Amino acid sequence: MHEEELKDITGDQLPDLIKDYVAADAVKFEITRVSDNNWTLVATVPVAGAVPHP
Amino acid sequence: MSALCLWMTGCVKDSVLFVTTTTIGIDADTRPPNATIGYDRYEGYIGPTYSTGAIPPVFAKIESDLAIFNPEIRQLYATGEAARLVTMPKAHLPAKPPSDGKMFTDSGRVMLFGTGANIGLRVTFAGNMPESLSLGYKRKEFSYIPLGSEEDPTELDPNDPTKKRKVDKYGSVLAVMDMGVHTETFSTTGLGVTQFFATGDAANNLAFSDYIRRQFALEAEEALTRYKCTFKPDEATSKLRQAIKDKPEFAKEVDAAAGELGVSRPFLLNCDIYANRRNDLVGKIPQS
Repeated sequence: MHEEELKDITGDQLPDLIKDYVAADAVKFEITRVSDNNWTLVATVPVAGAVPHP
Repeated sequence: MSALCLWMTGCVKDSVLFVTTTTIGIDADTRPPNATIGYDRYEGYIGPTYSTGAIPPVFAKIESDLAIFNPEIRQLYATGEAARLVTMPKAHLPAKPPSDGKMFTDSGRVMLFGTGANIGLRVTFAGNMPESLSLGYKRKEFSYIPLGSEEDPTELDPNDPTKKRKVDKYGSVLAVMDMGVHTETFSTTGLGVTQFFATGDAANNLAFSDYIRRQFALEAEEALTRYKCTFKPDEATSKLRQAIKDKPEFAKEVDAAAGELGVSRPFLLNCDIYANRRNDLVGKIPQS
């Protein structure tokens, strides 16, 4: 497992990104609101690329 | 501190001095005149070294994002058995925490252990004028511990083979500072501080605990590598998403590219640093 941190996400982009990470078998999320419309997402995902759900 | 060290050097054979000091932010003092902006850390150790090459164990670790405002900081400071325990691979841990030994009456000596932490703004005044200013995070950890002694059950005393050989014993202390922005859920998001301070067997018990080992990722296999980048999807991201949707078999190629980079598909598709890699993949989209 490793963590991937994405910064500068806007609120409207966040749901789709979370869905992508769920499909990528992420086991944990940390979502931080940096300011009104600026979020940071940290996802813990399997190492060496994720295997998406069919 | 140097004066203290010189004073201690006289009794360095039977005691250990271990000091750390950390500043993140702005620190200024008029006596002596000095100023620090950014990250400043000192670690110092004075103690005996033995004929076998052994040195009394100490351990200090700091993890921080170095932010001046709302910094995330994890600091661990340990000596003696506690230092051994927190650095020991989990597979080698004993079944229960070891004890520092009995505290025989009339055999006590003075030891010193202290920590000081300052978070936020601290200004001291001499009269009406500021004398020192600290903005951010500042912490000092200090211990001066005389060595004890115990029998080694595996070795006979070369001078008197009817007795067991004595070995020096370095007492345990453990100090933890865990401070940062916690974002487990929306309702618990905020700045939190967890602080421990323990000596003797209490320090050993804490050093043995899973909480400390997990929190400080003390074992390489427990540590998670974190890849960071800025979210910046582009035109290539849109094209790749559409291609995966239209031709699901193309997803394998994207996943293979992500696997080569050691990241997940969403990370490859959205990171600013992988823009060139995405453009390469766009060129490989099968044309129908």
